[in-house]
Amino acid sequence: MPPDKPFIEHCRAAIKILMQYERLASKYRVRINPERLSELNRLRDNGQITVYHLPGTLRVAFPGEFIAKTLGEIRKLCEM
Amino acid sequence: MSLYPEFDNLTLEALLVRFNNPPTQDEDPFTFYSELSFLMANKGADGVRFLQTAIDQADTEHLAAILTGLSSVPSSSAAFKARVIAYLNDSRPLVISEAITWLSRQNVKDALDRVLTLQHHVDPYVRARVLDYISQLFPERAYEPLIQALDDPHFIVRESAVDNLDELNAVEAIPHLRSLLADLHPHVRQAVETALEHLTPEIQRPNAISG
Repeated sequence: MPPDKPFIEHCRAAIKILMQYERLASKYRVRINPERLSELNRLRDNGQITVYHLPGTLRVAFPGEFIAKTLGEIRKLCEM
Repeated sequence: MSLYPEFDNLTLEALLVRFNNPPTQDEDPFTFYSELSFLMANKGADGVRFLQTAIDQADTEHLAAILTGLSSVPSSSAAFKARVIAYLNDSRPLVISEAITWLSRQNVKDALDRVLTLQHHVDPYVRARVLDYISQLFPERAYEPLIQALDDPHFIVRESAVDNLDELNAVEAIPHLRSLLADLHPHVRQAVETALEHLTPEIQRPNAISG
């Protein structure tokens, strides 16, 4: 039996955090240094970023079912 | 690998040493100490105990970082909750905003009246955290304050209002959000574009809520 499709709200929340971390972190006064930001952008652009790469404050709101998954994996699950 | 890969495999004792020393060159102190605080808080009871004890001697950045870190783990201490509520009277905006974050994440609803007195605070990050608190703990009361905050002079507040309307599936906010598509700040524009992408299809969904 195929796995259940994730809730659309969880998909949106997870993808938003993994795509817009620079903006979202700055809302919480978290400043990612430029060298680290370049590395995060590279991981995002190839779909390999996970929430573990991001500031802790963004992990708190991240949907639990996607916690160890890459952006690419989450997009696939959410497209089912 | 995390935001600071050099912290990944450190023991609690090693994290503590880093926490008690200046940040790495070019690192923002609050960001640096917050990451250490998150890692320590998630090392179990010993980490939580250390952070709760360290609060007494903490400077502004350390204190705010401790509150942020402790917000990520459940707390059942009434004494610590009372202490965090008392920080709402602090003169330092960084401490106030992180106290509100802690109250939101710990679901402390009985601080509502006190938190609401800060909705016009001079610091935009404090105003933004008030919006987060209302949206997360009292979503049925959040719509009007969020719509009003779309006109706030600071982009952090407008951006936070947009993100919260997005997360509340507030489809009735769509016309208000469209008016911010040309906002001067790129973070607000990005938040609005994302919210509209989410909310426009929501109009078709039966469980969408509105203000």
